Order: sequence, then structure tokens, then C-alpha cells
Amino acid sequence: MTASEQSPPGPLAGIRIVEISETASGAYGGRLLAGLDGEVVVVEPLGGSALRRVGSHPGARPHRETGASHLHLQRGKRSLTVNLESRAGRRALHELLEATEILITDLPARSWAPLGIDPARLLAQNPALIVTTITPFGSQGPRVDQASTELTEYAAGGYLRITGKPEREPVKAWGEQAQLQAGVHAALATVAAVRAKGDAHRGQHVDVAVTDAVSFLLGGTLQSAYFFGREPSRNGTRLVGFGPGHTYPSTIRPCRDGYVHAHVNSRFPETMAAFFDDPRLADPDLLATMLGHADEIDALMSPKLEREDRAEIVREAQALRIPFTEVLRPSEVLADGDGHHAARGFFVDQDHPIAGRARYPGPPIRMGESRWREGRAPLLNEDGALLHHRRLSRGHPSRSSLSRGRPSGDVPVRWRRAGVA
Amino acid sequence: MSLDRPPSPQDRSAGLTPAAVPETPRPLAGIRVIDLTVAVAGPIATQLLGGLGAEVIRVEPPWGRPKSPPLVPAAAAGAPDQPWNRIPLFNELHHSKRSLPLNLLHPLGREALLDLVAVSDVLVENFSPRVMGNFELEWDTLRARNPQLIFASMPAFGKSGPYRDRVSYGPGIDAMSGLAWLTGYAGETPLKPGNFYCDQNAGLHTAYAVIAALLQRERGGTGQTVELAMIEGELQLVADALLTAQFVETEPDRIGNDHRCWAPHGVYPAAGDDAWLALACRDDEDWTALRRVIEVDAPDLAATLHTDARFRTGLRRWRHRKELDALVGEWSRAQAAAPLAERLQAAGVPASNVVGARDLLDDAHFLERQTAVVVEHPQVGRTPVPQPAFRLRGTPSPPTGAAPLFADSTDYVFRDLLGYDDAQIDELLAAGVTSHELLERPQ
Repeated sequence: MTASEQSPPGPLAGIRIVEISETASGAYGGRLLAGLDGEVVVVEPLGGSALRRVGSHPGARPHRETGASHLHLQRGKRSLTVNLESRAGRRALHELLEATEILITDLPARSWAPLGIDPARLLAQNPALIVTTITPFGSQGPRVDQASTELTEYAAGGYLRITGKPEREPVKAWGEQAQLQAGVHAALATVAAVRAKGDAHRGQHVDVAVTDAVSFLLGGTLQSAYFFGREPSRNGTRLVGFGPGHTYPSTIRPCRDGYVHAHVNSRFPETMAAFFDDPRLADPDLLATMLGHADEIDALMSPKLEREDRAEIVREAQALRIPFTEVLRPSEVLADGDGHHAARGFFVDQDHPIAGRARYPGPPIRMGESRWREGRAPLLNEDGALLHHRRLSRGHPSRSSLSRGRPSGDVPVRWRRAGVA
Repeated sequence: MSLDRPPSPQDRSAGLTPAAVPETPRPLAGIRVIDLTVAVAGPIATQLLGGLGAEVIRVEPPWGRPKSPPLVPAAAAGAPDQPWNRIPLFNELHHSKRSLPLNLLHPLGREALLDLVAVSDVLVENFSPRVMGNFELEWDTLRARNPQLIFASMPAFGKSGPYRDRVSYGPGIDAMSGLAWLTGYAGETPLKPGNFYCDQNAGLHTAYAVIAALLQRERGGTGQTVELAMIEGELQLVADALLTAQFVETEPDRIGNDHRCWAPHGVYPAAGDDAWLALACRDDEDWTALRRVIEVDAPDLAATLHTDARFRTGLRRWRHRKELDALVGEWSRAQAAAPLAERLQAAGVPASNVVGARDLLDDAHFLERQTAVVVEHPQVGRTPVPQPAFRLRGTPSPPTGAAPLFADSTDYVFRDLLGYDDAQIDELLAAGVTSHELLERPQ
């Protein structure tokens, strides 16, 4: 485990955090706490967290140590296996929690009591503990125990409806965005709870709902529904519109070698006319109802876009302070053609004993006087010495039904839930 | 809701809970934040800090709001006709803050801001990097006035590097992070991931970092800079794709609503206009439960799904997911989405109707969870504002109030916080450096 030596210790230096995660929500929340220099111990079942199997693997050869989500999200953490379905395992966890300030978990609420992590009970035993739970619907309300996945949480939170083409079914944003957003909310609330402890060292339950994280993305949509009884619909490549008077373009358009994201300078929309050398784009009627003229604006932009490359278009537009950008593929992001990320030292080339060397995103934030803890993802139970765990690791891999609340088959339920088996 | 007339905002807010005043101090009680933010990402960062109890003073140019915004709700009874105070998105983004008009391009305005810096804990800005320099308000200047200040910046691409001076809103970052490339229907064009996706992400990360910096300061540290390059915040969210691009030879691409292992998994048509059902079968148990629900409406289809060899195992269902999606869609399109989702949920199958904002305002879980609450705006009346996804059970932190009327805190800041006398304030007012009302933009 490494941390930048150039800066003083981070804000959570010396604070131990126990993470019990199955999804990207708890793991990303934990990563943000680890980055602040907290000591994050991931407590995993004997067979490893389901997260270890999520995502691609080097050479497309699945291995419990090399899943992409695990490799990225668990960087800078420790791993400890504990069978929480055994009494000894739960006792061991409680011993660990006695020397812990924060527990962060994304296990479902119905598993809390059986696994010994019910927030009320933990707080009764240790009032200084912060217990951050991330669940699909939070800990109160009629849907608390409903089954869900990333897709259905996206739908229930209201954001799925505004992504996709208007004539087609809504389409989910790529990846595990709902879980990751919930993870950011969880980290934010957890550091707020650390500050709220005060002199009395009062802990508390921080209750995060994934669907709330989705609803938080709605940006203006709720107000529109409330005041005007209508809501913007999905708009394909265009930004959802609140009416014809909305500024435009904000859209993805094809160009000679791919796609660009075309966006008007909202303060100086008439600069589009100069950029595209077409006075129609400065017409007052058009500027007054830009989204209402979206098709016409697309047509006016097309000739130039179709004959020029992305880089050229973006360079010209940016010179006029018009915020056009390239639509990049993941490989192009990594290739970093103009050397921007390299100049900022953003990507981190990290060795891993089994996954090998790979390039990872660096920290999301930079603090001038606090170091960010990086490091590779831990091997399963690499830090088992943290507990006298030998007595705990006897027995078989977990086959609990706790994560689903019903009997399971041959394959551990939490693995199936993650799409592993 | 059954009405003989179109529902009014009051009807729509019937179930929303007013933001309560908590009995315990909020986590950021005693912290003062100067908000120099624009657009969406920055205002979200400061709004989050305000909800957590910080006093957020939004510094706006004296001409800082449009006098005739295109679409605003009606003024509340007896309220003056000031449409710039009724802009819906503004009022959503800026709840739990104060408003201070201040012209930072004027030497007196700049000096007043530095006075405010001296009595504040945090300053947040999200201009492009050259702007704070144009104001002569860079870190060295701010730190000289207040060494304990946390100075948070949210540039699109960072304060260094070849793209330093590039301008972009959130959707442009979605494009450059790869997220737009990855989002969309298989085989079709890249799409935007919804609304202002990158902005909320940046605002959340910034608020998290600011609180962390405050913790550091209180543990014996000093003030410091916090930088959130929007692109670097968003690249966290596509790390799997970036690793995939290194691990396998094929470029990660759009897969629509498909899952890499599960089927059926998608968004299916339901009865009605633009009505949809999101459904996911994770395993054989879900599959069996789904067939039992289908059997009630379409026994022949259920029998086919049971006996057809293409759907016998999870792997086979996934391989034949297009045919399976078509069959599920045939069944779902005759059903109302919400009751169908309830039936599936009762059977243990992950499902949800694809709700919109109007649905949420009537949704029992949304209302009980208080995903949004209402605040009382002096010129609009009841106004819904979304809460972040967390509830701090020991120190509840709902929004502290509605968005500020323009210039609601001019006197508070200059008299109470900075101790300016009448002559000083009159000088600022006369120079148009501050105001008690919205001014015309200088030519």
C-alpha cells in the first residue's frame, strides 16, 4: 500500500473503516474514504466479495483477484475474510468494530440483523460508531424490501425516463452509475458525520438510498413537473429540453472522423454564426427559441462538421470560447492524444501480482495539503493477520440466502446476484 | 388524485413533507461558505454544504439574474412581480443559501470579497481557470487574507494541462470521459446519459472534498486548495471500461439495456403512451417467478417459455435474449406498467415501472422517504427541492430554506458580518458594486 509522500497525512489518517460491500456503491464509498487516508478493511466472505467477479478480466480469463470493478474500487484497502454466518465470525467482526470508527456496507437491510450489523444494535454497543448503509430504497418506506437491480433502481428513481430516443424505449446510462452515485453520496455523508461527532463523539446511522441518488440527478425535472405539470422527455442525442426557449445546441453530432459534442456558448449564442459562417445562426427569432429550431440548427451545422475532423472542429470552436468537445472512445481516453492527463499526472500505472500492470484513473479530487491514498487492490484475505482468523476460516464458502431473503441453490446467492454464475 | 380541473402545484405537492427544523446541530454548523459558482455543478456543491448547515453566501453580479426568464411559475398571492426570483432551476439549485450582489470586476467589489474571505471558511468557484486570475483573486491572494480558508475550484479539465483553458459544460465532459460513447442502443449513435449527469457528480465530489478539508483543518491543519476537475471526477465512473480497453482486444461498446449475463433484462413496452417496464431476471428463481406471473395473463406464452429449449438455462436465455425480449414485450405491452411491476415485485422479481417526475410526486415511497421536501419560497409559495440520497439519522439535515430572493442578504453581509458603516455601504451602492435590487448589466 502506498500513499503520496509529498503531502501531509490525509483527513482520515488514523481512522479505521470497515467495509462490507457486494456492489460498486459500498466499494466506491469506501474508495473515497480510503483516498482520504482512512484505513479501509474490506471484510469479505470466505469466497470473496461478489464485486471481485464483476467486470472484465485480463485476457478474458476470470479470476477472483482480477475483476475490473474490484481492481479499481478496492485500491488502497485491506482484505480480511470472515464468515459472518458463523457466531465466531460475527464475534470477530464485533471485535474489529470496537477499534473502528466507521462501518460502511451495501448489504441489504434484511441481512443486517442476521449478520450482526444492524445499525441500531451496533450504535447501542458503540455510540461513537458511524454506520453508513447503502440500500436500494433506504431503510424506511414501503419499498424497503423490494428486489432490485441497477436497471430497476434507475427506473424507480426517475432518471431512466430521460435517457434515450423519444421514439424508443428509455435506455440506461452505461455501467453501474446508480451504484456509483450512491457511493459518492455515502462518502460525503460519512465525512459529514465524522464532523458531526463533536466533542461528545456521537456516532450515528447514515442511511443512503440508491434510488434517491438516481432522483438527485433529475436536475430541474421535478420543478417542471410540479409547477407546470409536465416534464422534459428523453431527447436522444440532445439535452432534455424544458421548452423551445431552451438553449441549443447541446447535442452529439457526427463529423468526418467520429462524433463531436456540440454546445452553444449560452452567454454568447451568436458566436455560432461566426463559427459556422452562417448568419442564420444569429437570427433573433432563432436565438429566442433555439431548442425549437433544433432540426434547423443541426442542418446548419452539418456541412462543416461533415467535412472536418473532431480535433479540428473542437480546436476552432474552443478558440471562440464555444464549448465543443470530442466524443471519445474509452481507448482514446486512455491514449490521451493531446497529453492532457499525462501533463496532470492523472492516470496511475499500477502493478498487481496477478492482474499485472494496468492504467487506472487517479484521484477524483486534489487537495493541496493532504495526501491521497492509492495502492493496488488487496488479494483475498491478504490482511488476514488483522484478526486471529484461523478459527474463523474453517468451514465452507458462504451459501447464505441473506442477501435475497430466500433459500438459495448451489451457487452462493450473492454471486448470482452479481451475474457471476 | 381525482379532480375536475387540471392539478395545481398545490395538488401535486399534497404529499410532500415540509423541510423540518432539526433539533440537533447540523454537521457544518458554524461554517461559512462563499459561493462564486455558476451553471449547475458548482451550485450543487454549495447547495449540499448549505443543507448540511453551512451558511452559504451566494455572490452574484448585481445584474446576475435574467430579468425576463422564459418560463416561471406564477407569483404567489401578494408577491411582487419579480420573475428573476421565480426561476425553477435556479430555485432548485440554490436553496439553503443567501444572496449577495457584488461586482468582482470593480476594485471595491474585489476588496469587499476579500473582507468576506477573511471571515469565511470556504470559497467555492467553478469558473474556467483564467477567471479568478482576471479578478485577481488567486490562491495566494486569498490565502494572504485568510490562511485557514478552504479554496475549492471545479474547472472542467483542471487548472493545468493542455486543456486547462478549454470551456465545457457537464454534457461536454460526458463526451470526453467515454460515458457518452458507452451510453446508447447497441449499434447506434452515442447518447447523452440523461440530463446534467456530470454536474451532479462533480458537485457531490466537491462537497465531499470540502468537508474532508475542513476535517483536516480541525485536526491541526491549515487552509488549502481543493481541485475537482470535472473530467477526473467522471473518469471514476467509467473505470471498468478503461480497464476493459486494456484487458481485452475489443473496444467496450454500447449494449443498451442488456446485461452481460442476465436475461431477460431490459425495458419493455407497457399499455399506454410512453409507458415502460424495467425488468431483470438474475437467475433461475427469478425466471421461474416471472413465468408464473406471465402464466396468469398468458398461459400459452408461459408454457412456451417453460418448454422452449432456447430458454432452459440462464446461459441459453442470455444467448437468445433478443427472441426472449420480443416474447416478454408481447406480454407486457398489454399490461399497465405500475400494477405489473407490483405483481412482479410481489413474486420477488426485480421490476419497476419507468417513472417520471410527475409519478414521483405521487409515489408513496418517495414521499415517505422524503426524497424531495417542500420549502416555502416568499414569491412562489411551496417549492419542492430534492434531498441528497443520505439521511443523517443522528443529525438530520433537510434543506434550511428556499432559494434566496435576489439581494436578500446585502445588509446582513455588509453590516452584520463585515461591520461596514453607512458611508461605506452607500459608496458601494452608488458605484453599482452591490445593490438591493437587480440592476441592468453595464454596457
